[in-house]
Amino acid sequence: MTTLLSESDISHFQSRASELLTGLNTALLGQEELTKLVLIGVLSGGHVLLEGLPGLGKTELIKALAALSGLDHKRIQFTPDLLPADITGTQVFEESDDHGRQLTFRPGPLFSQLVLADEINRASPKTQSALLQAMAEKQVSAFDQTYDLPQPFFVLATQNPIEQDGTYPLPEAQLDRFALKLSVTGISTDTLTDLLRTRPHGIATPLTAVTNTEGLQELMQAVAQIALPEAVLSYIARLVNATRPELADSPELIQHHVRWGASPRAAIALGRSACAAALLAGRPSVGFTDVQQLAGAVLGHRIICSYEAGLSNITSTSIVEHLLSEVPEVC
Amino acid sequence: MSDLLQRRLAQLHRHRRLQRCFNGLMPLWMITFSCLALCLIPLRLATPSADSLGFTWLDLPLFLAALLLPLYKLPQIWNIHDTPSRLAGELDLLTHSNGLVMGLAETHPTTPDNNWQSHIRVPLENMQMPNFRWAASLPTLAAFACFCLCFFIPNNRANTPQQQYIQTLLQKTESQLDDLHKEKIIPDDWAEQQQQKLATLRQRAQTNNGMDQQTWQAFDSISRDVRDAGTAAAKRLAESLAAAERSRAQPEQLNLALRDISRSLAQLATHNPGMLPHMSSRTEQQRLSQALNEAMKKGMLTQKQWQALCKNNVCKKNTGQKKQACNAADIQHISSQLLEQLTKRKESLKKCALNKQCNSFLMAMCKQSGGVSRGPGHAPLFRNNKDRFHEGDSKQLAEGMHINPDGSITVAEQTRDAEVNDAIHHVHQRAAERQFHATTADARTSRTAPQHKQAVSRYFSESSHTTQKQEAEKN
Repeated sequence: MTTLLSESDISHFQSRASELLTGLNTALLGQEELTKLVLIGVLSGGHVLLEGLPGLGKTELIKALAALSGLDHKRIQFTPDLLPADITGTQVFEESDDHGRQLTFRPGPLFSQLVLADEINRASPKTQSALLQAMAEKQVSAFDQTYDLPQPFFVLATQNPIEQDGTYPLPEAQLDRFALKLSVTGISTDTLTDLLRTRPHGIATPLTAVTNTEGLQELMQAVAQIALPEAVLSYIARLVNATRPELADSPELIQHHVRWGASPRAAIALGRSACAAALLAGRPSVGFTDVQQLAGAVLGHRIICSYEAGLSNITSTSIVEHLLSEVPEVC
Repeated sequence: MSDLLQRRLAQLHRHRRLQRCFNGLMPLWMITFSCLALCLIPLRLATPSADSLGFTWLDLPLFLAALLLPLYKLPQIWNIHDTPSRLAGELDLLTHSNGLVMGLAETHPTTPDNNWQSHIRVPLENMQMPNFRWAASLPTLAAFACFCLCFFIPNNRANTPQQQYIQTLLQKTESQLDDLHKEKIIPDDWAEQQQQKLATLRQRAQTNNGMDQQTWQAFDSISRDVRDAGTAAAKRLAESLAAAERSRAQPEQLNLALRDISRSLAQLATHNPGMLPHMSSRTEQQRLSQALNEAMKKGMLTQKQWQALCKNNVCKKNTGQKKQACNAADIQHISSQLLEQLTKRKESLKKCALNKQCNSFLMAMCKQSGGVSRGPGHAPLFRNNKDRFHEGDSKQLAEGMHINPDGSITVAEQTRDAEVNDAIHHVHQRAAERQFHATTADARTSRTAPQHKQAVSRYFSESSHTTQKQEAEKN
């Protein structure tokens, strides 16, 4: 038996989340859907990967989120010569006041609540792999020591779908650790006109924090209290398992065009994201539409298509759309 | 969870259970109806005498089996229960509440719903259950229609056309017999005997799965007898008419007239007493009786014939009274009376014949409907011969017909060439063509075609004539 949050609690949390959302929309004009999904990712405690062409405001959005949330944040510009120790931290030889000398661990930029991993695919796999533990376990192991990362911990990464020379595509394990992968698209002419009028030099108005770490954690706890009904759980499970071609009851399209399907981590991410979406919508429990709205962002980058899919111009997005039409909500 | 939500969930459960039963049973019914229809069709169409084998009782059990057989699955389907989460999900979709109903359904009944129920987009009070889906019944209805139609397929009866044909033949023969009997053309005892035989035949034909060889032969025999009886009666009547006509025409030949009249009447009295003429008055009857007495005295009648005539009250034996002998006037008078009475009999026989149109004796009695045939390849002698039916009038006999000295009438004489089939002509023609064809040319065996012989001879004669001419010119 579950207990639903009261209407007043929901309204309270919704209004606080809306403040964040409004701030994000102020920072990034004409990308309401994107900002909402980013906020959903953050509230669900997941990491978000933004993919888009240069100049669309990916970095600006994350910087705005950092400013609005009041979280401690660091930016890492991923380059090919970046080393794991550059982001996790390293031991330095320090001389103390009492003339003692010792090796001291100096935390890298990963030790912050909100990490902006800019152009993440430009770093070498070795460096990218340094993020795996941090993103999954929110810990860093270095020099025989394990260090907890500050809570909450988010990695918001960006990558460029073009200019692939000299880049290292993210491995599946890395991709799976991102709860959401969002595509940043261009904005409309009216929005662009408005942007030119209000920001002629491209400098956004400085944002002030609307919440702090505690406030954000309260919001995340509220998300955890959103009811996830059995029917929705079953729907998520069926939807995720339908992406796996090795299962006999998966659709024919999946069996022919998908090499690897989504993992249980994807199902967890989808459930938590749906809870966040329900909170943003002011509802105490998750509905089927919440799942359907987030399925593309959560499952899309976790479905590895086969070469036949490439030949047939079938993308992971179209596969998710197909699954949404094939898998019934109630079964 | 409120009571209203619980009621709605229960209502939805009932609806889904009914729909599940419907959807589960309909295909089973469709399969059952189809299978039984497929069984029924060959049973009706391909099983001869299904009736007699006792398959008629199968109709009702088949129908009941088709209806009841799928019901064995009903308890199994009925016992399937929807999980509460599924019902909640279904109700959530119906109310477009986007998770709210599911969330409320999973709360404890005693937990207050915090007024969330009022946020449901379609209020539970006004919610309508989904429509019952009848689409699954369409194939079943089609199968049921086919199944019902199969019951209307008539049972295949063994040799049904043959049975009908046999019954028709028997009926026709019986009808002929009845008509002849009714008109007293045939004797009563003989008619009854034939009727009994026909009744036996009918019974045998019905019970013995059609007609066997013996029955066919018996039927042929009876029908031939009936036909011959009619034909013979017609013949005797025609002879009587001819005799009366001849006597009226030549009353001066008393003996010949007496013989003709007495013998023809004796024949009728012996074989067809119903066709004997009844004279119009007592005087005429006495005159005929006197003439027959005279013929008896002159030995023109046998004792048996005389008894037959007496038995049928045509004549009476003279008892001591000496009567004056018949003269030509009496004979003429008697002949006229006989002609008149026999013509009436002829009309009755003709009427009897017209009722049935396909027997030889009927054909003989009907004008313009063919006549005696001598078999295949021979033209009917009396076809379109109108005078054939006035054979009693010797003056109207057609050309080539004449009365023989023994009283019989030669109707026609025909001489004809031997029949040569057209196919034989074609064979001969082809053989001739092949013989004289260029491809079969052989100096040793080839012959000149008959149609070319004159041309060949003319050629050689012309050449010799030309050579002589040239030599003459040279000289």
